[in-house]
Amino acid sequence: MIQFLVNKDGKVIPQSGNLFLCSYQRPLSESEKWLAQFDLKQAKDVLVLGGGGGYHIELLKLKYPHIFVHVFEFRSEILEHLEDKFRRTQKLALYGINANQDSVFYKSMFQFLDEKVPEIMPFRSGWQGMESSYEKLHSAMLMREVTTLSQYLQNSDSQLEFQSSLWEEKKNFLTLKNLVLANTSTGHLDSQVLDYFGEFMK
Amino acid sequence: MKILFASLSRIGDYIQHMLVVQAWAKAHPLAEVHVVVNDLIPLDLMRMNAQFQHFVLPRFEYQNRINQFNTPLVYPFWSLRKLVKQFRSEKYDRIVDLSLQAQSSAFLRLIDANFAYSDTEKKMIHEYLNPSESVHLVDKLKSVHGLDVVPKESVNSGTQRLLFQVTTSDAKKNIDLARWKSLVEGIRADYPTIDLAVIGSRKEAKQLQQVFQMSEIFVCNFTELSHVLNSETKLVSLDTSIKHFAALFQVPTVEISVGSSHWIKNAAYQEGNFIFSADMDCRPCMHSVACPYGRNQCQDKINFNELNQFVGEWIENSQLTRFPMVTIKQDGNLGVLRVQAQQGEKWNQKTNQTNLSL
Repeated sequence: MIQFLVNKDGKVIPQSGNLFLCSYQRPLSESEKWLAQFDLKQAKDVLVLGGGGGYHIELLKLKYPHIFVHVFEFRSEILEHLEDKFRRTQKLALYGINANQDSVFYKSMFQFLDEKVPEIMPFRSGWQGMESSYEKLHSAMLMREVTTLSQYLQNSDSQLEFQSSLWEEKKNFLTLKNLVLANTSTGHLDSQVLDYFGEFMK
Repeated sequence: MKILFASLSRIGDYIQHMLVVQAWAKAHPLAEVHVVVNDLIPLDLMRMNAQFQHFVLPRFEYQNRINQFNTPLVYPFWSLRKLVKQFRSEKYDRIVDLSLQAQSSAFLRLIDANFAYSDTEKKMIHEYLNPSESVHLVDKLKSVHGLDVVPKESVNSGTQRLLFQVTTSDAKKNIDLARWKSLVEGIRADYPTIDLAVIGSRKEAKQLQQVFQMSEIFVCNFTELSHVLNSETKLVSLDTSIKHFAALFQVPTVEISVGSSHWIKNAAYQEGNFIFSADMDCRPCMHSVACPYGRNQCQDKINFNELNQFVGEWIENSQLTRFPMVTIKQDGNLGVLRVQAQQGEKWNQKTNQTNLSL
């Protein structure tokens, strides 16, 4: 259940239980700090994970009007609020995500990422109360753990094959270097492409 | 016919490669010419060769992402796979690697599994890597591909405007900025009519400001620089892309060759440039190997007092009393006058009647 409060500056702040989904006192300076983390000079598409009060999206659109912003949000009340707030905003898409994701969801998500290659921009204040769902989705997008990489391989048409040593890296985040070293050279295009990254490691 | 040229090295190499591509396109006017470059090449420079479709291999972005954690793991893989598929769908009749490097050939084998260097290209690579060889890169490439490219002559207009390019991307080819500052101050004091400016990219501006005043610095991109080079000016440059770019506008140039820079192989492809080459037995050294002295001591072999005097005389079009090497056209190729083709050649010839006649 989401409630919308109005702070002393007249800003609408969403609240879930006793948690605010963006800064109650200073949502604008929170947005500025959040946006400063990212280098978006080359970005054409970005994926904002967590809608919050929408102030971070507003600032993002103000500073980078040419970038297409995709917002992923679990809570339907937040989505409705954002739809209302950004009704006239160009190059913005809001996506409602179900808490339970199946293989069809992951398949279409990986296709979406492959097609748009968006910069991933997690807005963690907006995750409060649903941290585990957001964390799970964020991990799946990054594919930095053996479980999430395996999830990608199962739900895509990738022809990559890896040596068993890769799947033992359970405690560590994976890097491209891990993939290059564990790549099984099969002669398939995917394998050849991954091999090429080895040239940068020489 | 559809052809892909790969120019996957640095900016200076790209400028020289484009001389070869332009000559090839002139000889084959009906051919569709594509060029693949890496993400070091500025967009405005590519736009100057817009008659050829350009593709960018974001090699340096990939390299940065090798050990990153905060972006999806397979983004670089997806990006490269997409690019390779696009190149494969172009179905080129011929693929030519102008960079002639292991990494570029590996990339071209992704596009066409049968890609390989011809025997002539292999011979060229061996010759070019031989330190005792002294043939310019463009001359090597034109002989490999049977093209007609000749060095143009610099156009000395008697201008009093002088530009300095005092930094390179390679520490081994640099000279300490403090020494450049003293040279600029010396020229200002000795030749007050000369209009001086130190040029630099936006990235270099901060570094230049540590030594030079803002009023002395001309911060520009290649488009902005082209406007200046297109009007009357002269240039003093280290071994940089700027000197190769200036040669496109036939700008008279003094080249300073230190570190791994070879006085002919890496010279601007232009007749009439003067070259001050540091005399040290280890020169020219390997580009990719760090200087064993920590600091490239060969830079100290460039005598800035003599350079000051030379530049003054050069700008004022008076008789030169200090004579460095000068580039000339020899059988259609670029050569240098008054140099034995050996490493560590002394540039500072004693003043004698022969030199003065030049």
